[in-house]
Amino acid sequence: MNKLAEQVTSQERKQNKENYLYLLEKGKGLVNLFYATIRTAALYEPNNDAFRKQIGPLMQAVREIIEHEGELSFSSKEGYLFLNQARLRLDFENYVASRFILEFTQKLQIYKLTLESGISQAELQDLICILAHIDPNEKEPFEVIEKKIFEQNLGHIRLEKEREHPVPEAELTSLDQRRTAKKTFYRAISVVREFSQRTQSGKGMNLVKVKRLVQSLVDQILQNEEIFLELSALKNYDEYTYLHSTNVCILSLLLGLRLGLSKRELCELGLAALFHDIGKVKLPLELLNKPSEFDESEWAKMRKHPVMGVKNLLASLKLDPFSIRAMLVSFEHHLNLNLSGYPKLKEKRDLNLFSRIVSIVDTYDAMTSGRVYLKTPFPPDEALRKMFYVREKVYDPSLLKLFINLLGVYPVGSLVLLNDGQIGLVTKNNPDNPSSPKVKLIADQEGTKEVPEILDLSQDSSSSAEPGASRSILRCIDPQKYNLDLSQFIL
Amino acid sequence: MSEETLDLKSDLNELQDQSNELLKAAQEVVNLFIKAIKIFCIYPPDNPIPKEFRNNLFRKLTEFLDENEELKLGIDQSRLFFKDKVILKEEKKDEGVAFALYRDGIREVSFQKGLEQEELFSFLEAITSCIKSILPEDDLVTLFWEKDLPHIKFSAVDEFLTEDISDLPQPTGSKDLKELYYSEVDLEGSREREISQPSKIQVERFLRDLDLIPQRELDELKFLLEKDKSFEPLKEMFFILKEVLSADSEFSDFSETILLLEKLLDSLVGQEDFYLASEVLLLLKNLGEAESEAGQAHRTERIKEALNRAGDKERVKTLTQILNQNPRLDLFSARKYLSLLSRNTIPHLVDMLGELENFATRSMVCTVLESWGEKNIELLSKGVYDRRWYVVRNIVGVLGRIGSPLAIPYLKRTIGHEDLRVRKQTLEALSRIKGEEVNSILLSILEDPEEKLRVRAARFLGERPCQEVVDYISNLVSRKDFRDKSPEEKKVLLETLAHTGKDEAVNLFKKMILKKTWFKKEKQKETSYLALKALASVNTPSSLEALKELSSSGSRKTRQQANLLREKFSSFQKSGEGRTPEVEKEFEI
Repeated sequence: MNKLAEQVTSQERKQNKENYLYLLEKGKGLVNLFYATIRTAALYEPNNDAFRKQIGPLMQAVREIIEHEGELSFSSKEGYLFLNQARLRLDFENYVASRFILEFTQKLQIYKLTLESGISQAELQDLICILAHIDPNEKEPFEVIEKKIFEQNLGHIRLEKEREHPVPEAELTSLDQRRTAKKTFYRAISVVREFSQRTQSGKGMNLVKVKRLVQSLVDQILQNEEIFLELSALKNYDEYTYLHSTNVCILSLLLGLRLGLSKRELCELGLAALFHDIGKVKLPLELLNKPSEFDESEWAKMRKHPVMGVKNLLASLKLDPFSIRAMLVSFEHHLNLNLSGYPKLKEKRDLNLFSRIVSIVDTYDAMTSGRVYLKTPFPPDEALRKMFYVREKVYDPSLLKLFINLLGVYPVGSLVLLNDGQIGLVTKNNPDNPSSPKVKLIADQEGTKEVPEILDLSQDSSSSAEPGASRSILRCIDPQKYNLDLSQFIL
Repeated sequence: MSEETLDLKSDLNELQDQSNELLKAAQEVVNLFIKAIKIFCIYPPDNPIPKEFRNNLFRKLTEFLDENEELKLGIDQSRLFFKDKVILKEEKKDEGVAFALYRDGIREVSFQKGLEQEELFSFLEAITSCIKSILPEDDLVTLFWEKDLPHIKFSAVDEFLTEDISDLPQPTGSKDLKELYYSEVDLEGSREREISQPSKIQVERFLRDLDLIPQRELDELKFLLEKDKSFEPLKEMFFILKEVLSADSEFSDFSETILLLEKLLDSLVGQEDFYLASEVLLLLKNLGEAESEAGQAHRTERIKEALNRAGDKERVKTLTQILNQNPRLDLFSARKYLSLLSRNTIPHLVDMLGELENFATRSMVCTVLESWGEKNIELLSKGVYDRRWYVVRNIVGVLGRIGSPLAIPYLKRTIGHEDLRVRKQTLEALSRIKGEEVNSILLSILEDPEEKLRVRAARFLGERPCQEVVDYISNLVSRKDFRDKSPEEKKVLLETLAHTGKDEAVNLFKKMILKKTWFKKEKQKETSYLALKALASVNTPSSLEALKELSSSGSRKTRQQANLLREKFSSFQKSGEGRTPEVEKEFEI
């Protein structure tokens, strides 16, 4: 390559990088505006003030990007949302909006939506109204939208359809992902068990093995977080401690993902969460499995486990940033935001981010499992509510909100009783309407259903209980009260 | 031969040629790859040389991928393979690119079409950091995983990914929901509604309170994330350890934690991570001081015990082996580590000097011993009794650099050491110590059988003027055997006498210049001439007067030489240069 060509290439690269950073920065705001405008359009007429307040800033943002880039397009590929050629990074500021757009476009079979230079506010407004009012149960939603765009003469808008058969392929991928996720989930339990046993007998642990496991969890969670949310709802296994650690790891990773943590940070977080309770390995099993409440001396022993955790990790791992994070989380995960809790600190300080995350997740999983600290579990919704009302002193309030946002009011895996008398398992959270998630109907008066039916409570308009009214959740049911095994519906 | 056979043969030849060409092209890329990494290891990344290599490699590699879609390389400990043929063999089995990949379990790397420049650069950066660093930040699989390299695939041997999971956890529950249904659901619905009401209200209230995350909380989250970017692992670890130790209210728990730290230290030293090891040692020291201030005698003693143990004989032996085995060791951190050990370690470190195989590590240990300073002269000086001359020499060097008069008794011993190298080192050491006591030892060296040593001692004495020196050297140069010494030794002794004795030496010089003998006339002439120059170098009115007198001496030779020296001296004085170093050189004998 001659010098001139090299110079040109280098300039192009610089330009590309600048464009990429520009799109990343602008994309965050645009996604949120797009999401909010569609949501508003679904509720209000275009001449309503609420809608007008949304469409103006959206138009301005669209115009700005088109001026800079020539055109603007949203596309989805392998579960990622792209603005032009830039893959948008999900974090707590745009997570809900990005997920919504991804799922929304997938449902409507839209692969790419392009807004060309010269687009007017009226055209954009029409497009938003079309998208907001399309019936997702329509057989060929893409064709319907395309037709409407043509009929309304929206000349600066281009749509591209999913190239192949998206539905069966997606199902297949989902099945594959489910199988792999299940395998990784069990592997995680097995690694925690192995680590605990080795620690108990004073042997060291191969950190690489644990890292690979967490890396694999991160990769899979990045592809499909719902499966892992479901898996983390499993509570009734005979090896509770290992299961609990695995669940805390998964839920911490999911929360970390919402925060926009990098892969390396996620790996550190996952590892720390996996071993947050490693201090319990030397506590007597009779104490951990005690069916009744602890007395004072038993509590004293229990309160030692964060410190014991540090010691165990110190004895088992190398002294690298991963292990140090794990020690810190083990040490701090029972400390409250106001530094009450245990162990008592000599020096005041701010709790580490990862400890704050694990503290929330650990409490939630413990409250909903009802094994060690509480002998009777709380239903997931109640556990979240209880945590929420003490948040200022105990948990990081914003992180807790983000966590509730992640799980929903009825977290995935909750067993719920509907107002028509059916029993269902929550399978997907609905961030726009947290009290109306997707539910897998698994039982009625006949007993367990052989082929469970999926019901989206936010879209339900028929009710077998009361005709004309939509079905809703009455309350959560504790599966452990009936010694129920939910894994048959989850795995 | 038929035409068909010929065609087949030429087809085969063509295929063979194509395969050879492909192999050659792959080899070319791999060679560039290896060179680029070597260059990366030497130059800083912003230097134009590595940049050029990197760009060349990218160009060649993309050309290859454009034609062949993929470049798949097999890896073993010291070789890279392409299509099962070795295309690179590295000289050393446990160094280099192949080894770095192999060590972390990578057995195959495949570069694929569409590879972007940034991907390749990230890949190179990860490998270089692994090769360059004694303690890489992470294993290569993790580094590649973190970097997201969609067009670089690799397969790694990870036993855990292939092993079976035996003994899966078993669900404890049943599968039938009938029981649940009839106890939870009243089909008439009346009881159900009653139960459900409070829950519904709570959920609605919860939803209202939950609302969106306000800007203030979003800002707090951003701040928290930003703060976490500057996470300092070591600082955090020390915080935890301090807290853990303070939480250990029982002495047995405290002692157990200290034991863990001791084990940690051993393991860090075993891993040759002296940086972290010294940080842990420092922590222990600080903790010891804090416990002592708090009047915790037991705990202080326990920490002291740990610190002593860190530098006990056995551990120092291990350290010696490590220092001998690894030439790439971080000596700066190793020095810091050794400096933090307790003073009980000194004898072992002295012993270590005898076992270390290379200069750099010995020099590092000497610096550490030197840092123990004047207060530990007695302990350090035990090394002068060592049977190995090189240990004695090193210790003498250390004592010299400390420069304390407390070392004099030990140096008195070593100045008589049978090995000249020890005596030389002792002389150097003595020259660094102030005080008249040293002068008499230096004077005694003027009688050493080794001339070089005598000359050097005389030079040092020139810088320490005192009556004892003047008397001793005056006596020595007046001796009959003085003229038999070498010109160099005579010159230095006379110079030293001129410098220390000044006017007191003038008469003696005159006497020496004018002395006549019947025997060894040439030697005497040489001595006279050297004395004349020494006289000129005294540079006082009386020495100049003596020089004037000598310029009219009966001896033609003496006259000439005296005149010459006077002329030189006056021309320098006229030019106003005075006795600058250049002038002094002119006056040198």
